[in-house]
Amino acid sequence: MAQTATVSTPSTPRILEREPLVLNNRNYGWITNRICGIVENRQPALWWWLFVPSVCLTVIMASCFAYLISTGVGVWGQKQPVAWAWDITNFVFWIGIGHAGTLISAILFLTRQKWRTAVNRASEAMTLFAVMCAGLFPAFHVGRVWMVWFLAPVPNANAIWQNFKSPLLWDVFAVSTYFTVSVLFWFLGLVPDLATLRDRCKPGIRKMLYGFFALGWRGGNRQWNHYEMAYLLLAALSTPLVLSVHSVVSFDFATSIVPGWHTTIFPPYFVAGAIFGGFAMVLTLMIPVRKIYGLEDLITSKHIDNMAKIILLTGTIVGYAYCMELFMAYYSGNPYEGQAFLLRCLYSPSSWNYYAMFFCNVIAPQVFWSKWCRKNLGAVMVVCMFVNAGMWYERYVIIVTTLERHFQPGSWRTFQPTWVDITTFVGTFGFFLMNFLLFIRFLPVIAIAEVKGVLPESDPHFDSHAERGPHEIALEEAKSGSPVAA
Amino acid sequence: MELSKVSKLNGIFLGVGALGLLISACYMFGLLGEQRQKEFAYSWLFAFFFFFTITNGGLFWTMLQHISNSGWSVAVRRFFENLAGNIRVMAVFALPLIFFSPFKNALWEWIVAHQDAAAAAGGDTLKGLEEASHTNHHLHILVAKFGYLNIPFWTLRAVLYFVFLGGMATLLRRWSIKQDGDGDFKHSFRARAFCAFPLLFYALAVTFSAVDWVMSMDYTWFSTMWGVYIFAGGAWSSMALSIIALSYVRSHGYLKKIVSMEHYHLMGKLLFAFTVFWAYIAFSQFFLIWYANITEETRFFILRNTNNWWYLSNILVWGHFVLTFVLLLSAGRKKKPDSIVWVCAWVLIMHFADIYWLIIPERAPSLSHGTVLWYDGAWWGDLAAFLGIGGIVGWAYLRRLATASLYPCRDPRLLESVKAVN
Amino acid sequence: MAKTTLKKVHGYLAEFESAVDVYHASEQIRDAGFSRWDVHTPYPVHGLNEAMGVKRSILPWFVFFGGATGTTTAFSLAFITQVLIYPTIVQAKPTNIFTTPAFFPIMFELTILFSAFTTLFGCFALMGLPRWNHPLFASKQFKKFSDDTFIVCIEARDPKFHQAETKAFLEQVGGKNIELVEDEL
Repeated sequence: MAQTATVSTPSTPRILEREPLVLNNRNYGWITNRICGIVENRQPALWWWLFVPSVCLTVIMASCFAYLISTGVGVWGQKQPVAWAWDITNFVFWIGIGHAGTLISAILFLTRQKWRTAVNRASEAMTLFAVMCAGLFPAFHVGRVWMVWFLAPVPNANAIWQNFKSPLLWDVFAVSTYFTVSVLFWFLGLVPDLATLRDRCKPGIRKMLYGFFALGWRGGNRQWNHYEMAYLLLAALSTPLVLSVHSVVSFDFATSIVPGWHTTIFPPYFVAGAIFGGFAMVLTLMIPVRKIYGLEDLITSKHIDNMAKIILLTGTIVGYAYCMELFMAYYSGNPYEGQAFLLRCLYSPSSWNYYAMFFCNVIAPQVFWSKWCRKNLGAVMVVCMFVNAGMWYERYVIIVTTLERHFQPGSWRTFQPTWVDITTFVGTFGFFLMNFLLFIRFLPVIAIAEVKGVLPESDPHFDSHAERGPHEIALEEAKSGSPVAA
Repeated sequence: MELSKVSKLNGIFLGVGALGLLISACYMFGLLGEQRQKEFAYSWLFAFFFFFTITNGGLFWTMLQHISNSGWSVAVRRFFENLAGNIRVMAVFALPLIFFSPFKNALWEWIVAHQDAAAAAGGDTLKGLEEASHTNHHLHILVAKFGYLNIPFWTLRAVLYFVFLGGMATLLRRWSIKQDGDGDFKHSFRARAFCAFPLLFYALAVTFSAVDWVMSMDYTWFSTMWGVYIFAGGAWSSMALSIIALSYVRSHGYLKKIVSMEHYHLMGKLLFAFTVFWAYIAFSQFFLIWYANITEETRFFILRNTNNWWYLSNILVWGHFVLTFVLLLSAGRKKKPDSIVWVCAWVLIMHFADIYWLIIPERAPSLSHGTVLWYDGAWWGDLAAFLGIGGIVGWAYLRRLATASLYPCRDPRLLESVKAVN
Repeated sequence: MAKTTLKKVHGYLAEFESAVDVYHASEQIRDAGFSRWDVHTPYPVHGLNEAMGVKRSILPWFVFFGGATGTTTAFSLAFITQVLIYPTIVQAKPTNIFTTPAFFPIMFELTILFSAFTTLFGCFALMGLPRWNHPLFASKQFKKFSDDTFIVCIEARDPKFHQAETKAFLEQVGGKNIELVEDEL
């Protein structure tokens, strides 16, 4: 929204310039050096300050799972009727985080949003790590984790096949497909950048590994032709895939007849919520990365502005879905539906979660109406933290507070998490962060080839002697503080 | 564009529209009997809602283009602006639905129940409903939703929808045309700022108008997906209509240098995206109701899967989604105006089938209190209403196209749009 | 490495500084009738396909059939096991063809999975990757393609290739640092 081009002298051409995606006229060499430098140079001390604790948390998480396997699922807090609690909440939370990565890499690619190039690599990596965190929970929730192969489509010991009509099996297919396709997409995007790293390395083990995974990429246009088609096709496949994954997750709840779970808007509502939460996580990660590694010219305030707007949009869609649920609970005239929502919002001892969710997801992002807030990194970070928390609350509200008050009042109880619940969940953050830090350490955090492609001189019809547009003039004026001759 | 160039088509639209309205008037004022008049209420709602959703779609695309600050679409934006401008015409056609008692009583059983209750309780509708619900247990549900579903609020909402939608459409088009004259950037900035927050109200207007007029025909049924479903169909068909209008205008020699095959390709891609989106929404809605199998929800689909309606449901599955999906897969087809126009015509036919499928199955069961599924000969009324409203709407649209430049000729993003490559 | 290796000419490399330059050079090379040549660029240059006369990739066709295989696989898997050999009644759903909607999620997922695998491996096959050993990697200047240089390579296999004339031609279209790349026999 930041077209400053309101210079209206009659002689200037009546064109509204787009803001440049890479600032300060950086050239190809600078981009290569800056991004590869992150991998090639020593990591800043902060990297180690983050890495060591996150490894510790990962160890704690692993120990919790070991304790769970050796003792039983009872170490988690769920008791009837709350058979799904933090584990499934965390599963849905993490899988939702992943969706922004695919949105940025696929949907924004299809809609030709060129600003995506600065953030797509990191968000795709984030997707993979988030899905890895997500996958842990259902796998351990089955109890006897060594029997988890029962989920695979092979007949079990009694020659009985899986129930293909079960939403839980759809989940297995959806999540594993999502992970696989995300890996393929991510790898395809990495190939040219790995070649760049390969070509810069001194001979040695690193060059061998980068070279091996670069597959002998030579960047010939005859290769780019197929490459770009493959990229387009994977984007076109990932777009419905990302919608389907969270829709299938929502089917886990919505195909049931539990009031508060069974509602038809769940699939798009879950997808919007996932993108919403995922973007908040992308910003949570990228704002520090940008600062620490000096990437302000590549991830500009325009990028952050755009992502803040998407958070505002999806947050409002999520708000629409909340209101639609409430409205239909009333409009249906169905006493069970009505009671479910009255309990969720008013009477249940857990109802404060609903307000936490509503505030974090619907109210907090509204500050992004203000341009100042979208440009202010502190404000953006605060809102993103609210959204991260809010999306966890949302899943908790849907899953736990619904089950706490299900059909039979005699069995109502309030869920209490155990220390294992809490430490496992905290541990997954360590696991997630550890993976992300390793990714920054060893792989290009920004898609080098793609960013080069959005520079103005990358267009083969670029005219370097073109007149300066009003936007450039306005920028110069803003910098120098005095009018500049056109 | 000069009106004289399209006067032939425009004349046909006006003629067909006038004839259709004439026949509609005969139905409407009971000249063909009271039964036919009641049946025709459904015809009118069907025809009205078909064009209403398309008009809303036009407003959606206009707003989306402003809010996303998109460059490529400037060259074709005027088509959506003009399409959205039809909302005022639609408001006129909505009058019989909102204020004409025979129509209201035939279409919405809850309105009859409310009137009976008010008469029985001396004007206090809620009290009357509560008393009547002791003997007729279905009415409990009307007591429960009285706060939303009552005649004064229902009427007020209808007015608000048109005030909001009409106001948005008028303002956006006015600013755009003003910019043709003075070329001032501020119109672009203002339109963008103005579209952001009202998009929420747009969502609410589309959702609740669909709830008020279509979903409440069966006051026991409900689905939270409803608004999204109606929106998806409207955006989809309005894109198809705009591609057809664009091709028609180009066939008269206009916009040849402004609109390229790239624009066709981009619009075709959006059409494709909404083909998939509609299928996703429609499938999710069906699937969740089918799978959970709860009595109060399944009625909607059971009715539409009974006897011959089953065929129409299947036509939607295979025609609305599968065939359109396959046809639009090819990039070459999207870029060829001659072939994409036929796909768009098919899209409009399928949207016709979709709205027919939403509204008409309720007619016979409702009017006959569940004894018959189908009234023979009632479809003549559907045809008359469709041609009547369609003719006049088409005529108004063409006339509106001719009143201003066919593209925002001094929009600051015009050059970007003309050069668009995807 | 043996000291006396026989070598054969792989082709000429020529550097260009910008996308604009290499675009115009490509048009001239295309018009001169060369067929075995390529432009090595740090990023995909849009429009270069036309300038080089490269046809659109045929990858979508592979993917279409890959996807169709996925749909069929998923449907067969679900239908055969749930309807034909072991009719399972769950959620009061029928055990005939009308239970298919319940299989849609898995049919969809496998369609995407198979399509994605076809896309990636089809793409690699069409690109001729992986190929870790290539004569171009012997060139010192070639590695600059992955940084900021646009490199044209005309191969000796091209019927129009001529050791002196092709070099002159590359100079004429604006190529710099022209290098003869050799391949070990």
